[in-house]
Amino acid sequence: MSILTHKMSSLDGQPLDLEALQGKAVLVVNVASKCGLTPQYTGLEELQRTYGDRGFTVLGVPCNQFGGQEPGTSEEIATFCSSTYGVTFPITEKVDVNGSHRHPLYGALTENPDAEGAAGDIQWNFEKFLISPTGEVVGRFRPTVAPDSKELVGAIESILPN
Amino acid sequence: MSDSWKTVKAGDVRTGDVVRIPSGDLITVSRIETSFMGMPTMMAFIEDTDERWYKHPVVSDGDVEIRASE
Repeated sequence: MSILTHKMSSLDGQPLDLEALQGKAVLVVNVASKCGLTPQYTGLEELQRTYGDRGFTVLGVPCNQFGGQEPGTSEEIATFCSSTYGVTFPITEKVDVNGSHRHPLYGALTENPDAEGAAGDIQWNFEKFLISPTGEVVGRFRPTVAPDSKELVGAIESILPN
Repeated sequence: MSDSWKTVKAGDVRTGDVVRIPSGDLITVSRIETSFMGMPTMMAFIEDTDERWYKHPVVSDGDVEIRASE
């Protein structure tokens, strides 16, 4: 069963049809605007531009649970992403990724282990989950794994549908 | 009656302590993560309650403010 069956809204409050992403390779990333890792947006957008026409997309998920580093409104987040990093990939509403109010998408994602076999809570901003075109989680990459790292780029290229 | 606060080393914080972080926000410590993000000089306080889940990293040998017990 595909993991992309949960209801979410986009940053502008409109329903975001995750099922429409089925058939694509999707990199789900919890993002924040005021984190030391925020410059990873540059690499994420580069992935989007490089592989977007081959059936790939990044899906950014703003979250304020880590050091309060995503405090802004939806409008502020959208403006920051667009004006600072030229982000073109979809960004969801701000959600919880850990704890009792965790979004169901992250309830499913966090059941999957990283390369060391550790599942469970998201560690920090910019943790990444790679979802195959059939909707299965095929990789979990901790926050310090850079978007242009060999391991992440290799994993993406290995599942591109086109 | 206003709360009183005392300064302790981050490594001396225990679960159940209420930590006042620089923003003024208060964290009720549910768990303590050592070696935050693989850095042995960092740790993190996690509040995991019905109200919220929140993680705040600190330098392990740095000073933090906790609510003083009566």
